[in-house]
Amino acid sequence: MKLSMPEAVWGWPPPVLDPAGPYAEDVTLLAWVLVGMALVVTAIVVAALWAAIKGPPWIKDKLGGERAVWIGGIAFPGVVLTALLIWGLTLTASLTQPITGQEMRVRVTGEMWWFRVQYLDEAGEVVIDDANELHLPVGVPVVVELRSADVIHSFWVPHLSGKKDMVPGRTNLLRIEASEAGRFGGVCAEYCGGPHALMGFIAVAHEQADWQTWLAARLARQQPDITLPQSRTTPLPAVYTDVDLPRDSALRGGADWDATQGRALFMASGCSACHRVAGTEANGLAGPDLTHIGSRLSLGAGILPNHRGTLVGWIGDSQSIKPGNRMPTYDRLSGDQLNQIAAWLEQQK
Amino acid sequence: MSTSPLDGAAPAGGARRSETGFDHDLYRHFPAQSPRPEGEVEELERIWAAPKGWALLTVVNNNYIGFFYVATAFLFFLLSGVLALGMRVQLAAPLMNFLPQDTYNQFFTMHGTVMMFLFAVPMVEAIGVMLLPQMLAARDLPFPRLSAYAFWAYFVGGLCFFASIFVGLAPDGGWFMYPPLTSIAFSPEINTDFWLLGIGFIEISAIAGAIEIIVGVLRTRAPGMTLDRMPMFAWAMLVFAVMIVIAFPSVILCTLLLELERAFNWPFFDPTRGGDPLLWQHLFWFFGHPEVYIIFLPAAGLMSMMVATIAQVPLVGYRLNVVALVATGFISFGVWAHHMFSTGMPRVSTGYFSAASMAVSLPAGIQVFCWIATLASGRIRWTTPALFVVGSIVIFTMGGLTGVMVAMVPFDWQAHDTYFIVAHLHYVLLGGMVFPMFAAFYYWVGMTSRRGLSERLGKWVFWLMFTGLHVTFLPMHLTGFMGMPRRVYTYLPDRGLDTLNLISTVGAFILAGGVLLFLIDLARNLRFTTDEDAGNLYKGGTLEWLPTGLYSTRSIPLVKSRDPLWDDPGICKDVEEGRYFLPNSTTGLRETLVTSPINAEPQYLQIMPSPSAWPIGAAVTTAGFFLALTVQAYAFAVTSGVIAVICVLRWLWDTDPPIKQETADIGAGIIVPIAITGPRSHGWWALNVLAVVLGMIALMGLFSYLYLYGIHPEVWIAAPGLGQTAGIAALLVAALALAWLSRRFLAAHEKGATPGQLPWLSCATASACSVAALYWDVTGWQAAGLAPEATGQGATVFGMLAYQGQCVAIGVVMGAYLGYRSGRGLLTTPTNVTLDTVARYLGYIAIQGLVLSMVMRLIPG
Amino acid sequence: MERGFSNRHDWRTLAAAMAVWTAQFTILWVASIVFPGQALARWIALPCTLLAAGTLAWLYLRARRPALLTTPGLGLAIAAAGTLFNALPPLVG
Repeated sequence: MKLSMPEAVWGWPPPVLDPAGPYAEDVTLLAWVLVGMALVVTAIVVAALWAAIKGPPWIKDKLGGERAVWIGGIAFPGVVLTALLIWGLTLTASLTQPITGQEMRVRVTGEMWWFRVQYLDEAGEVVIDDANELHLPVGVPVVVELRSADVIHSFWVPHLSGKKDMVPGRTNLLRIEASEAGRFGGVCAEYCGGPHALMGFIAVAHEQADWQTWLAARLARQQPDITLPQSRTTPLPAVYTDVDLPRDSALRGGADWDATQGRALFMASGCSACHRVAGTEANGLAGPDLTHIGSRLSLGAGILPNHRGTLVGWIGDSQSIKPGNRMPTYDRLSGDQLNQIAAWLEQQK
Repeated sequence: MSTSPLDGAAPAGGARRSETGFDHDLYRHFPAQSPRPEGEVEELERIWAAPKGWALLTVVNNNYIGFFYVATAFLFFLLSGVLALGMRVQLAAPLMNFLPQDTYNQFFTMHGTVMMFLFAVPMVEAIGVMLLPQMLAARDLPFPRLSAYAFWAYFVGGLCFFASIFVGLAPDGGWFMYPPLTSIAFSPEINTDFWLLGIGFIEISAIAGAIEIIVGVLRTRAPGMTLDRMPMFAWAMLVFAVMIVIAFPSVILCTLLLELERAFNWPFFDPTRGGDPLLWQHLFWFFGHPEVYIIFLPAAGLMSMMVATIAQVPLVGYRLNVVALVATGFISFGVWAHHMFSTGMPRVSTGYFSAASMAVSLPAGIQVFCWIATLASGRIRWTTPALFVVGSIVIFTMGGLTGVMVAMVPFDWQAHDTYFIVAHLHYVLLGGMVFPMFAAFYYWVGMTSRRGLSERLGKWVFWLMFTGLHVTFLPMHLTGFMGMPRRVYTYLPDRGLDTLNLISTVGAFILAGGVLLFLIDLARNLRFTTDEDAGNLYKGGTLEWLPTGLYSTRSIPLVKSRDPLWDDPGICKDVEEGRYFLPNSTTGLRETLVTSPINAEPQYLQIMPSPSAWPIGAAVTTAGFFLALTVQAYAFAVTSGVIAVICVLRWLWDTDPPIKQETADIGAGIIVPIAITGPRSHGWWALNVLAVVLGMIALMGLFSYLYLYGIHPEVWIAAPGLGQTAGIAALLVAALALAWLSRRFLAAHEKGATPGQLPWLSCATASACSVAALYWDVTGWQAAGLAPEATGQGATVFGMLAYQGQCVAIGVVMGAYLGYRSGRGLLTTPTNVTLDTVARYLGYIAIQGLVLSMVMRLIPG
Repeated sequence: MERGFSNRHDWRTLAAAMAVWTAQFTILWVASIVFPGQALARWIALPCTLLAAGTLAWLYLRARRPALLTTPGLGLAIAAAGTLFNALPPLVG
């Protein structure tokens, strides 16, 4: 089972230096200045060492006196540190402005070892349940409410902002915003035991029109009769058919596995004890919500691409892919049965 | 050799105000002109001889204990380094299966834990044990049996703890072991308990070492070695020891709290019952950040001394360096929450820690420029220590600069918990401690080995290590920027991390190659000796290079400058011929000179203990106690603990011996008392330091109480009634009064009279009052409806009362011990060390109990 | 102008300067966590900082205006820098 995410969500250039949103841009500038400062000061110190050891007598004389200690050890660092500190403090303030209420709200809860994502309306009610993926519109500030269901995790999308921890018993708030469309990788950045290394997610930024489409499709599945807030005026389609599937349509049209049988197997095998699929009797809350699994970009919390092969492999034997994760191995199901379940799940977009 | 205006050494000899009333004119008698009688040296050798064969295990002299200590710490360095190599192999390519997930998680936890707790702090302490007495021209550290105990507890405990990895029981929560991951719910096996109880030994060793070093540096220096003539390493160790005393109690407390949570379900860190996971982080990092300066400052002290010798000039800016050490020590206590910038603290709070983290780099920069200035004012000799010294300046500066980078909160929000931090920490630790340590090995090996190490191989060792370090850790800055988090057993392909990780792995093996070459050199050249050592190979100027035997120097010199061997070429010969203080043993026992803290004026003669089996017995049984508790073998634990207490009491029994001879002639007719009691005695100071340690634990406990109240006031219940509170206070005040009175009762007797029952009874009653107060306190809270497992309030109140209970229990044992000594007629009048110690300890725990009790009962009330 | 080293005043000045920084830091930090996000924390911080700065100035004068590169002088300078840095978060942060 090849774990990889070849969707250009990571890679080069380094995400910390490749901002895709205003909260990351300012930090990137700071990062470059700091890197420059570090290089320059290192060069100065190395040069001073060199001169002290091998330099001509007049340089050695200057470096051996009190002026050098005063300039190099007190004056120069004092000025640089003060300037940097003022910049850092003001930047921190601008990244943590108070919540105005105009922002989009999402609640992300760290679980061992996946991310529960819940989109909230203005009243703070959950309107969409999802997992391991965060969709947001370009140009709209988003406040992420970070919680934890068990141990301390951390939420980090380097392209969009710095990280913030998910601490049990607290709700931390993080402001992010995308200024361009794209898919940005995220990880859990606080050791949470076991397969912490394989706990990731994808942040997807949509252009405005695309966002409306995506939102409407999701809302339709969650609660068909939901009343949208005033600001959103696009009418809701009753049924959603054609979604931008990012993966391997070839497999979808492959062998003829019966999705209805898959649905029955899903319920009978106990999957519904942990997973929820809106509009069915599956209402388990322990594991990721599978209502939109068919359109999700990844499986296993950002570690596998999502297509028939990986879906079957994950259900059949997730333990050998992500040892220690909370989902049991279903190797008692046959290949056909697994394919049937997968076929049904693929339809949950 | 040039003198710089920065370097104001005070005028030699007289014209100095006396600190203790000692007449400085007496110094004019030294070096003494008349030759010493025959046989003195042989007698010293006989008195200080080490036991042979298996009895060598009972040795207490610092030459041996120091060597064992250094060797053990180095062993842990090697073991932990092997773990790191395993980790790097696993990370050399994505999705490797060299170390499966659980094994890797144990490996990285052990790598961090062993490096920080079993290698770094013990190593600098060990170097101190080995070098400090000789640098100060003392015959040994002030409490040799305590050193022996600290070492053996560390040796046995550390090795058993490390062995846990071979049976898959090693902790796997990271070296910082954050709850709730390490709470019983998410770490039900005993791996975490191994960590908790395992580092208990290291805590004991470190505190014991700190007590010794503070008293040693301040009270056993050679006469005339004023504070400003002390070797820079002595200053560094003094700051180090004070920092340990202030910082370690925090980790002692938080490990105690986590163990109580795991064993008894007391919810310190459980937010559903009024606890908070961040409490652990505050407590841990209040210790954890000073810890890294605790590791760095002694190495910086060594660097300062080596830089001077390498450049063949006195250190430029001696006083500035001292100020830098002290300032770093202070400010490093204000930066701890920079490890917590992303936890959601209030913004202004993060600002304060950012500010202090920037400020703490100022003194470090001053030190670096003083070193550069020293190199500039002299002429460098390119020996192996010189290579390591210059290399470490470069590496440490780079690490310090990445530290300034992550002191900026927004940048840290990107870099925290990524490989950027891994790069930063290894640069500062390798550059700030490991490279200076290797330099020190080459530089000071001549003190302990018949042969020095190979200069030729040494240069290879340096270049391999220097290159390996950069190849390993420089790419990690970039890996962090590319998004690789820490503590991951693998990573996905297609993230661009493959090549960089492979380079890092190759670098790790280059670094290891250098260490391996060093080991080969050690095997070929290191030949342990205590009297035929290779000597002053690099021509240093400080006192450790005086000719020494197992008795240290033949006579203790009068110090007139910072680099006595450079300023007085005849000093070695004079010392060896006994022309200074204490050229013999005045009592036929082991002795050293105790001097005043600022001016090092002679005050009294201290009789030093001889080898003994009790410290090692106590150490092994203490280790056995903790280990048995970890594996829940309770019967064995109790037995081991009881034997440990017996060993300790038997050991203490010898420490207050009746001495017939009252004064001694330490040279040139100067007479000093032998052993004194009261505030000037070194035992008094040791108890003061211990009281600070206990007080810091209590203070951290009160912080925990107030912190949880601030976070979850809704779970707080009302305290029991004020009448009860007043009664408890009255009992504790009575305990304090009785403890104080016991010394007065003893002092009321003439010298040589029998003291009667009153002194020890007074102490025993004081102890009983403390017990009663505690009992009443506990039952009072229980009656008020507080249960320890129910809420954060319950946990902290009962947790602190449990801590007070431990202190009170020790007080009961001490009271009984005092009573027994009194019954045997060993309570000397009008003052007595045992009574002083017991009474002051009981007085202290009465005060501690009072403060703890009152705060928890009256706030919020 | 070098003074004899066993000069308690120099060391007391250094210790006092460090104590001032420690006190100012502690008070400012405690205020920020007892009153998180509130203006009250800043209103405590500023007078406390002024008091700290004043104390450092008093120590400087009492030590007879020591030069920067001496024990008391450098100690005061580092404490002053630290105090100034601590004052920035309530002002600009």
